[in-house]
Amino acid sequence: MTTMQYTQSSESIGSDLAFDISDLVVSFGVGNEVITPIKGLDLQVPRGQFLCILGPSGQGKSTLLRCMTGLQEPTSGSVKALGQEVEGPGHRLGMVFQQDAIPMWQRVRDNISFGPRMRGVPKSEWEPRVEHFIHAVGLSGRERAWPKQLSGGMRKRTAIAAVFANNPDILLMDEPFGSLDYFTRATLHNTLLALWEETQKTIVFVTHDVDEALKLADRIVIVSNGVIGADIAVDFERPRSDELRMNPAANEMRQVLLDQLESKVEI
Amino acid sequence: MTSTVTRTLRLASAEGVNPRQRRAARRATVSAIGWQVLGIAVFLIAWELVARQVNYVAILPSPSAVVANFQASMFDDPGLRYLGVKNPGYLINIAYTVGISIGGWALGSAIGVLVGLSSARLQFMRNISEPLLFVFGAVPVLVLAPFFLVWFGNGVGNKFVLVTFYAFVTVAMVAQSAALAFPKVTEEYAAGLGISSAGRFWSVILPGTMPAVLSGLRLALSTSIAVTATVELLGSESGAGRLIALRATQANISAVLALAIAVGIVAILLDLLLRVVIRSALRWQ
Amino acid sequence: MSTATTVRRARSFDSKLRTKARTWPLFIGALIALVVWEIIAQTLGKASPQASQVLPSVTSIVTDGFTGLSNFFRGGFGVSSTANGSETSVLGAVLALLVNGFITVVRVIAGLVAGVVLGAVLGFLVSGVRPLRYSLTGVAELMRMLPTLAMAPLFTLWFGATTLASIVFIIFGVMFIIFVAVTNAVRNIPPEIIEYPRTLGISKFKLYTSVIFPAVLPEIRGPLMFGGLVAWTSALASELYGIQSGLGWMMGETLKFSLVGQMVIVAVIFSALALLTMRMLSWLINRATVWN
Repeated sequence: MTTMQYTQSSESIGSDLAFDISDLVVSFGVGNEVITPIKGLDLQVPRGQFLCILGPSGQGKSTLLRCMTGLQEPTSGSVKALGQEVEGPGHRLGMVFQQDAIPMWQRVRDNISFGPRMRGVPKSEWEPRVEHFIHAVGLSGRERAWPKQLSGGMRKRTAIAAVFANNPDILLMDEPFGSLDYFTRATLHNTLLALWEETQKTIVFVTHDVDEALKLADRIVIVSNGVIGADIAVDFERPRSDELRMNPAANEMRQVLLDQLESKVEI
Repeated sequence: MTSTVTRTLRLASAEGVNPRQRRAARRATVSAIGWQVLGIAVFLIAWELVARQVNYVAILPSPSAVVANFQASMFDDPGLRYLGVKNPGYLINIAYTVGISIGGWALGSAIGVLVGLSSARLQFMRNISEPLLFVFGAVPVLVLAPFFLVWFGNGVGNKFVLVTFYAFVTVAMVAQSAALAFPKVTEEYAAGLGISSAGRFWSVILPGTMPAVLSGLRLALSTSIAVTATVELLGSESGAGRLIALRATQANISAVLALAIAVGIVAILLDLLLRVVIRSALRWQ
Repeated sequence: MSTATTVRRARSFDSKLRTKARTWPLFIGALIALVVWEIIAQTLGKASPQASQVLPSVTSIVTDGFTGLSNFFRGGFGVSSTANGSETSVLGAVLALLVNGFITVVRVIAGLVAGVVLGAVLGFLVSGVRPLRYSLTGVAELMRMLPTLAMAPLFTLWFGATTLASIVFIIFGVMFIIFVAVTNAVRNIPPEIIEYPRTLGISKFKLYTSVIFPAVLPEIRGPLMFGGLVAWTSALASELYGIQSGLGWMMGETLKFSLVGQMVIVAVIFSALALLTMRMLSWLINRATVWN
């Protein structure tokens, strides 16, 4: 088994920031009123970082993520990915959705090769990559299954492998494990971290779960009221499962984060 | 310090339907209706222009010619009277067609709802109804029209029987599949409260399947009217279909279109009425 | 023994909630229908001789009723038509049914396929542009509410008593059903199903062919089956009114002379073909959506 290295594509070299967001504002017209979920937000994300965006629902974190993928156009301000303005969704910015967004009519293997196949990438180029990620997420033996025949966790594995196989420069994840049970989530965290360490890609991960963020992130930002409310570096040693339980500093950080979130929640 | 903006945000994030979302949804519906009306207007104008270009009423009469034909024969039509039609006014004949349809539809649907729902819960009802639904669910009911004409004559009888049967089959199929698909959990919860099987039928299954059943009723009503009019083509003493057949033999396209469109408009109005009734019956949704 | 009781007890509440489709009632039902028909026919036949034409016995349907259909054969394949003086025969009846059945099947399939394709293509094209979708749906909804079946004479006036008139009439009936169904189905696709491929960098064309098209298939199952039923009904209506060939024409002729025996045979063949078409449509959709 050869180990494969999937580095950033050469064209993207030119900025050491994966994301450079400045003075971002997003407003929607809802009926005759205007709501503004993002109100002048600034954020820099260095390359290779595992960033968690934390916050209660309705504070703008999903809107922020949609701006970062290009699915949402900013009202004003700028979102630069790898030095270039984001102008719409594309293969360089991969996304894992909270819901099952993978096409249900493609078998597991076809789902994982879906992106490169549909973009017309030569088969010789994507085939080894697809095989590698099928194996890496633990779907060997299930390649011919339909997504409906899989458990929710297995479908999420397919979605993650599919995004990695499309070889994006950056991965964005919108509460991808939100609907899964505790144990499934824990094993998927390990799978995701292993892929991140192997590929060295930047990951932006939205969650409302403090423990999930502490386990995964290099850095946690809290979005509240449409701006970055807190920005905290997380530098515990990896792997972290035991570290988080034993280390008093981790408990302290969890408490700080929970206090921060609690003050933001409006009921 | 709660600014107006944060209050707005809180409102937007609250679960469920808030008044603003409802208002926005209503506005979206209004704009949809606006576009629909515009589409229909454009269609009518295009038809009028093409008809004027063709300029041959025996091929494509203009909408205004169709309206004129309807106006002229609304209450009486000497030409049709001459052909032996006793009451040749369009309105009375449309009322005849629609009246039979509504009667048959009401009776057939009532039986259909009861049979359809109970066949999802009582195996013997399922066994009895299955042959009828299996065959006539996948076969055009119109195939029965010639038989009923021979057996019941060309008066009200044959059409009433046919429409009743048609509505029964359509509504029973919809009701049965809705009751089979209805989540068991709700019924198990009701059973846990100690409600008997018959009680659960009236208090859980009937209201629970109501949305699907009522949309089945709407479909059955508009199709019933079309079925009645079609059977009248084959032979009938009165009715819109009979007039269409007579006018078609004279190649009077204006009259055929006037009658067909008038029946369609009545069907639309009845459907709207039914929708209003349904909406008030389903306020819990 | 104890396991058997446990199994029975475990099943009991569930079976009270929902029934299952069984095959044997279909056969029993058919048998009862035959017996009831025969009893009524025999009783009426004794009362008046005229009644045996209006409600013939089962035996006379399968004998005289069947061979009588050879009157609808216009000659060919070495068998001459009864119009030229030859006797009614089984072969003539079979040929009459084959020829006219074939004609009707061709009309139904041509009209159904063309109607589905036209409705679907138009639906997909329009669904991308909201104002266009709204305005065309308004017209289509209006068309759907017209008594289209009763407008069969219109098509005979426009296209003559031809196969073309029948096919166009079927297209007219099927197209709006499929158009409305496709626009609704596209609108009901959850947004993430379309957003995900966009984040993979897939082109707009591929998005339509590889994502939107398969995504709507399960939802248009019902409308497609309904379209099949409408196609057969429309074929029947157009052949009953004006056109001089096909199973519907045969039915119309038997109606003219109140020949119920022959009418039954044609109706059974017609229904069997319609049933077969529906089964095939259902099978096709199942094949196309195995993943569901």
